Amino acid sequence: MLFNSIEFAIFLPIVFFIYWFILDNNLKLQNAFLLLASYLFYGWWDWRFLSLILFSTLIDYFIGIKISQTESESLRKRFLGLSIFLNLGFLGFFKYFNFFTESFANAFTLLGQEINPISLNIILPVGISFYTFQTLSYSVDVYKRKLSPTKDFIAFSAFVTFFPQLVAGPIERATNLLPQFYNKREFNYNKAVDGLQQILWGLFKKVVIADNCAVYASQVFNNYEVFSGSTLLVGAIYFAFQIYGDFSGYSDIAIGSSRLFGFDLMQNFNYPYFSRDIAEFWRRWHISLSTWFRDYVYIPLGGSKGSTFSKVKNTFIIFMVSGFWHGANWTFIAWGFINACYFLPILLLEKNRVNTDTVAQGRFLLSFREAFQVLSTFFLTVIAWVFFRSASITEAFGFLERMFSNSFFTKPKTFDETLPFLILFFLCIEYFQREKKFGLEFKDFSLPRPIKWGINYFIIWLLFWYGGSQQEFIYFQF
Amino acid sequence: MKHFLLKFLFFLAPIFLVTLTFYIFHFKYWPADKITNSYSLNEKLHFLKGIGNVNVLGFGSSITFNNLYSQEIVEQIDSSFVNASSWGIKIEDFAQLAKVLNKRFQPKTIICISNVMDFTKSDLGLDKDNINHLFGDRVVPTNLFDRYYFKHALSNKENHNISNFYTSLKFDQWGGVPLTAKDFKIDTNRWNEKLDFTKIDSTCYYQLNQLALYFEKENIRFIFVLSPSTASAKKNDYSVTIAEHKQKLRDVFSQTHHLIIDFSEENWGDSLFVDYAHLNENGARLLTKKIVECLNNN
Repeated sequence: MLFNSIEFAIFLPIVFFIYWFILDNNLKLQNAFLLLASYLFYGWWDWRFLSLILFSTLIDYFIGIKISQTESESLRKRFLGLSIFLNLGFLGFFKYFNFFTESFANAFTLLGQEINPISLNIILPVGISFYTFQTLSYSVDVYKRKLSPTKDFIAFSAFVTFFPQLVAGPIERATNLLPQFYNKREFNYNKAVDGLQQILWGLFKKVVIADNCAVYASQVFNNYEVFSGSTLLVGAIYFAFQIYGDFSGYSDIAIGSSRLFGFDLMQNFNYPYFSRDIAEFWRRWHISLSTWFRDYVYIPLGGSKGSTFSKVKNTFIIFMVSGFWHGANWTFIAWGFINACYFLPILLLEKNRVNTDTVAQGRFLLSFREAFQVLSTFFLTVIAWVFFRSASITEAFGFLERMFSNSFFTKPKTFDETLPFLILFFLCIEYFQREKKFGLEFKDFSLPRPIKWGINYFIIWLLFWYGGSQQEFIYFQF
Repeated sequence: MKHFLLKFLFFLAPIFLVTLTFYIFHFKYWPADKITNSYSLNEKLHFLKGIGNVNVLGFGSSITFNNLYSQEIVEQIDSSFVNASSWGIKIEDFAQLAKVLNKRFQPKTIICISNVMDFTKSDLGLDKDNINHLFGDRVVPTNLFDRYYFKHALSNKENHNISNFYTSLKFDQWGGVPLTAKDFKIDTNRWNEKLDFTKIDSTCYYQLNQLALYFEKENIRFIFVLSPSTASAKKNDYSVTIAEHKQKLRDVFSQTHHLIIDFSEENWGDSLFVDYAHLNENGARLLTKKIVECLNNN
């Protein structure tokens, strides 16, 4: 069920009510109930995939225990290897089987040999890329002795399937989320109110910004040959806001929903479009995934230590694998490759940790230099998004070629007179709140209640009045 | 916790009351179920719910919707008739819907009045899911914030009661929408539009061919009419481009017994139009009379 669906609007209050009013003061029952609710939530997509997530849970639960019970380093490694093999094996099969067979066949075709690849009608289980990485992080952290394995199967299962973040993240670390299932949760009024505010903001980003941008972005990308260069740029910008609104909106709803139940999830987006360079962008965009890759792939490979060749190699590996994680298409790998090309000069010049604070921190306006940096970083990400969105590499190049043709200097079509203003309104809120956790966080404001409620009513009015036609969350396909 | 719940319910109360008031106020003309992304198609599907099999089916875009005069068909050809057209239906959509329409109405004759704009890419978003539900049971809305219902609730009453504007959905009893000539609110931009052959999607010809062959196999007589347009809608190279288009259409229908009726190069007075391609009631009556004459002669 989508977060902006009527089913979820009914599901969430019922779960909330039972969790706090009926099961209050009973930790084990609360965990069991969350597990049941999460299975119901996941099964609503497709009940056939419940067995897969259950199997994945069982594997890592028992492997975690086995790793901790074994003193032999080689045996511990083998258990970890088994966890990695099984988890990535499932992911590889469901997500990448057809990609590899078709690419293999295409490679043979290029060599003049036609072969018929085996193509299976595989349905991609929703959220597999997310919960697989989450359970893998558990196994690795147990192996590294960062975390004691749990013997509480219910708590562990609830951690794996926790419904707010199950299908599109944030990808939680066991060290952060799992202990929260052991500790008694007390209802906290301020936390719950904050949670609702964050859900509201997430809905605004998804329903008003992302879904409206999606309609025009699709029109542009599906028919790029007929539009002018300037209109293609507008379409690419709409996609940039579609994917940001969609994904960060989902994360906000996930984090807000979790807070209603007394859980704290990690921040997943930290105003990435106000980044002053690409390195900063990647510290602010999809934080849970980028830190996962940093900790479990990049650092074990050697990270940015070692020779220049090693740095270059590791950077390309990490970005291209990250691109590949997003989907079984060369366009995602190309997107990763482009980001690696952006990032590498900054890394080699050791300027990747220059902008670690928030832009215009403590000030109201950006300086000209900062404005230039923000705009040029945004422009670079928009170019990269063209590859992410296009159906093929050829189309992406075609899109860019047409975008940078003479028609780039003509008046663009904006499709909708209101949408640019909605995006501007959204950016103003985000800029003004850039040092907060989310756009509607009122914590440091001593605003009177009528004004706070007025703002909330206004946002709700925008949801109903400007809610676009329902689009599935983009990241569900990953 | 109780304090939180009470406050939250108190916060929601005005929203609930406003929404309920809005619904009650617009209840009588509440938009039809959102089965597709097309407002007019959804309204037309609602209209068609009570209608059974027909002998003659009108189907196509707004050109068929407005330019096919129902009374003339009913009086001169067959009283068992319905116009199932709606705005924005392209050849691509027609091809997708052919089997569903045949199963639903089991027509013996289908009339489609077309112009070049029907041969462009569709943005209706029809897919297998919603095609199968087109004539099904009530659709329960799933999106909490879909403005579709609110947006169209505001104008639905007017659309169903006026016939002197382009958005008229004042269906006659057979589903057609003749546009009143008197006091019609002409839009200059629409009047000045041109027929643009450069936007044709060539796959439409293939789709139309498949459609024609399907109807031939099902013993359905398919009448494909090339609609007239205003003189100003025709660009300087019109005679060349329309000739190419017509040749392709002849190739499309060559292996069938269907009929093409061509009014595309005739000069019809501006007083018969409401814009570059849509006829008013007088124009629609005249066009349909001529279609009937051609049918009787064939």
